[in-house]
Amino acid sequence: MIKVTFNLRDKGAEFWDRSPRWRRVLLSVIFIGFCYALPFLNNPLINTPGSDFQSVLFYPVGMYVMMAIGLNIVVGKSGLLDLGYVAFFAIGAYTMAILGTKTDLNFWEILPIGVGLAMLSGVLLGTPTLRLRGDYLAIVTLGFGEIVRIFAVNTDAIGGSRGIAGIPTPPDIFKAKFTILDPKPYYWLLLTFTLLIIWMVRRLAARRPGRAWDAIRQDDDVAQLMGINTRRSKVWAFVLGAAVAGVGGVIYASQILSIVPDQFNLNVSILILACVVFGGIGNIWGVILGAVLLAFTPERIRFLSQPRILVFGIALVVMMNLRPDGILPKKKREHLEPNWDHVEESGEGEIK
Amino acid sequence: MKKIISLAAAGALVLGVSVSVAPAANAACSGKLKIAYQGPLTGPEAALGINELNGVKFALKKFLAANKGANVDPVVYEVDDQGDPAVAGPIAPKVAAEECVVALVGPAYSGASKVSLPVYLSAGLPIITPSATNPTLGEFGKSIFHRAVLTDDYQGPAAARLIVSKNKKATVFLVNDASDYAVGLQKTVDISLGSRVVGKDVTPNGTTDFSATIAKIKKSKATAVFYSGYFSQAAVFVKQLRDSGSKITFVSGDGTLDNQFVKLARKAAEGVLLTAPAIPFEAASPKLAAEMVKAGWTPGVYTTESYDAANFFFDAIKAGNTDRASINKYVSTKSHKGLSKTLKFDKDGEVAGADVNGFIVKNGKLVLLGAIK
Amino acid sequence: MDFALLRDAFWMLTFDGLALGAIYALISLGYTLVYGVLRLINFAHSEVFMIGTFGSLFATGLIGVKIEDEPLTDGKMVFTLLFALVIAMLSSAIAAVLVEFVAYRRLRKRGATKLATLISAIGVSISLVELFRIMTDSLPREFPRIMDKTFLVSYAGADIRNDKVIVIVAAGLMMVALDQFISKTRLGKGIRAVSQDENTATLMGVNINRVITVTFFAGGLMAGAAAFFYILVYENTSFKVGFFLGISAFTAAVLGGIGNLRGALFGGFVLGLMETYTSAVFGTAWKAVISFIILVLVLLIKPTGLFGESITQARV
Repeated sequence: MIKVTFNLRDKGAEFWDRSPRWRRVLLSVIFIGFCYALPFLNNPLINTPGSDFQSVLFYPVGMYVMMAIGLNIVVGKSGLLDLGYVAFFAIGAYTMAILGTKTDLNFWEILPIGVGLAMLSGVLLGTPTLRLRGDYLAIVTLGFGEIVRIFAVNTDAIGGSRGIAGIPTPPDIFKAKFTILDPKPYYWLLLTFTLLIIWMVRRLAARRPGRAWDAIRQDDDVAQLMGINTRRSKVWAFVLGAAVAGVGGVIYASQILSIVPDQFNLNVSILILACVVFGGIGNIWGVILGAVLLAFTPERIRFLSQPRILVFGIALVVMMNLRPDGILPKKKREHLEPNWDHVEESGEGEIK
Repeated sequence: MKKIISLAAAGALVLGVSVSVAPAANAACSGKLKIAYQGPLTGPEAALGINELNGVKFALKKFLAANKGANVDPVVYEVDDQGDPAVAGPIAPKVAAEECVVALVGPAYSGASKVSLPVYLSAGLPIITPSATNPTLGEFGKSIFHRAVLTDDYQGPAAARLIVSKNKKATVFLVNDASDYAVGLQKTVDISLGSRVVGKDVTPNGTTDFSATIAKIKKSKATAVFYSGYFSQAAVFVKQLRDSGSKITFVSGDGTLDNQFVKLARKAAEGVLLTAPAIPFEAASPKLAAEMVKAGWTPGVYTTESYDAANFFFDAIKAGNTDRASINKYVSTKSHKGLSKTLKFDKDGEVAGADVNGFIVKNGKLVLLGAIK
Repeated sequence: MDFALLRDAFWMLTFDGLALGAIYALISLGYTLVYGVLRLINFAHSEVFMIGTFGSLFATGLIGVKIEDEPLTDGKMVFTLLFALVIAMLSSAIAAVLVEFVAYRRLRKRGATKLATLISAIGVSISLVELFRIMTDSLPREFPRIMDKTFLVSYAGADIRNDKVIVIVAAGLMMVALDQFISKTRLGKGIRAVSQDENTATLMGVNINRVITVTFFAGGLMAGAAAFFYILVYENTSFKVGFFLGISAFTAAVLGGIGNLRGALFGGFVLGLMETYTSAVFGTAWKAVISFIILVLVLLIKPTGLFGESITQARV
């Protein structure tokens, strides 16, 4: 088996570390500017036949990126397998929809409430369940995601299966008008929040909470012995992840204008998880790249019509087989599964 | 700020990409006019969308055969929203931005309509939906919205009348599949039946085992069960009901009116009563149905309505209307004698003077009972 | 809430719940077997089940049983039942082995993380669902009535129907056979050894690759049997069927203690009963919610499920 020695992530990190401050600033500015200018790109390589490119940038691409960054805090940083992440997204979206239609609060006033409620549900779900180990946690979170959806379907007070329509758009910011026909302001809004979240996550990761998550992911018991309050750290990871999804949900509802519970199904949770793992779990740039690719590809190949999702599924398998650590893996390989250490190289260790 | 923009432009140039502004929504079309169809063409709901698309394709083919010089693209502009509002979100603006798309048949589903209609309203694109029956859709589409079928507000009471006409002492058990459509339809049936309703259950889409629901129905001693939902699950349900030994009258709405239902439920489907504001293509015109099958398209539920909707647009184009605004004006004010009924929209875009039809399954065939009085 | 219904129709609901539970139990064995050996949730297992339902359909087509035909009788019926069962089991088993080969093998050899393997399996699952969706034009498929469905006895308001009795009994037999296979045969011992300690098992001369293949094959056989029983009772299938039943079966496996065969069996029956009872009391719409709440409560009291994990109960 050929060992992949070239690691894009390491090369990138090395280049970044060696760069003087001016170059870092310049690169960041160019990158951020490029992101903001994306809606104006009309390039045949990246435009999306069959769907509106600017809308695609907002949803699914931008939205998946934001949620993948949020889920990465939970799965990638602290190693908790969450299969019900869509629930927090739904809670954010429903907060926007209910308060937006029933009260005269505007987007900016609802946003902190939506995020707060998503975080609160994160605490409520996390506190009792986070003592479960990996796969048990997976099924419980999966169940939570389904419960939120089923609850919304069966509760007439919040529209039942009809959902909620007529959600107000955010108020104008200077000249940027939020209207149904122009997704650009929404994209810029989403991008701004995403950049803020990236900044926040990077800060956290380098500090005490980030190191605590690292320790927990590598060995829960040892982390506890080292004096880390593992329970509290886990709940924090969960709650921060929930907050990010909550932001996404509020923005999403204000753009799509009408939501129905079935939009918040298990497939969304699984797709977001796929983004995280596909791109390179634990590495924020990998996660972003993964989300962009997984959100964008089905739109790009829309012309394939029928076999579109099939091609997507096959691509997922092939990519995972070729690059099991994702496209841009984390710097150092860790084994979440110690049982497999001995078959790591080629499986030749076994005695026939 | 200026610096950022110039840097961004520089970055874009370095990457070799061209920068341009997206086309305005309502520019004039320079080529052939296009007619679009929007509905689920892939994904789990695709069967219904394909029925409707076939109707549009067939109408287009006949129109072009009769009008050789018409400036209309022979290919239907297909918009696949998978019946999913989340998917419809990014697609609708794209359709609105295609200058040559002057009319759209669809969207097929109410959920996707709620997301798409405001976009089409802003772009002035006229639509006729062949199957979205949610009564509130007019508020989303306003002036560009037209509907070729009656809403649930008509179908529910008609279904109630059908049940009572078969048995004066009928008591009814209501079951729905928790979908937007089913809940809305059941509500109108429930109101019309009043005190005859003796029980209810919700079996969400994807329920495979109906044992508990059947136990409830038996205990309620109802004489009829009204199922509101789609054909595939209705077939599973009625089969289990019959296998449990129940002889109760089974009634359902337009979501079940599909030959697939009879095919799936087979013997259990015998005697099932169905209501629909739609009429099967074979019943509307056996001759055209045969012609359509020969051309390679199978008609199904709502094929008639989408065929009529497409033809109304072709009338408008034949009368010399070549842009969205004038076509919208034409369909909003004129009428079209279609296969299912005469399409004439009122100020809310709703069709008037149409009937809700009753059907019964007999010897493995859907038989039209006629309009429900 | 309708507790009166539960009281009045208790035995009917119990019987129906057991038949449903038998199908869940058979599917959940596949989850549990793979988990026992690989410590991984096989997300493509629901599609292995789905393929089994189409396998049974294919089998009846092969011997010329038509949808319109009257129910078969006597020898022909028995033969068709057995033939369809065997084909369903084989198609699921082969599918399971292929899933392992495509989604797991290479990743395992490279020592990939659990999550990478999970996504790979999800990719296979998506591909299979889409493949069958395209092949079936997104439509459900009906299954011919092989045997006449009659009531054998009526007891306390419960009508005991022949096909459901067959399902419960046959599922029981399958599980006894599997249990014997795991505890008595050489390959079964291999599976147990690997699930206890892979390193030591390798040192003791167990061929890991073969053990894993056999595990997937056995899990596939059980899922195939479940698929045939499902289609015998419900007489329809579609590309979505794996998703609908998969989640319940997976829940059942976790409830019993994933990795534990008897746990999966028990979990399957408990979940079948629970779903039927809660549908009666709270309405069918809430059954998934109640099931999950019960699951969470069980896990909070016993974090590794009712029976603890591991095939041999060596790793409690």
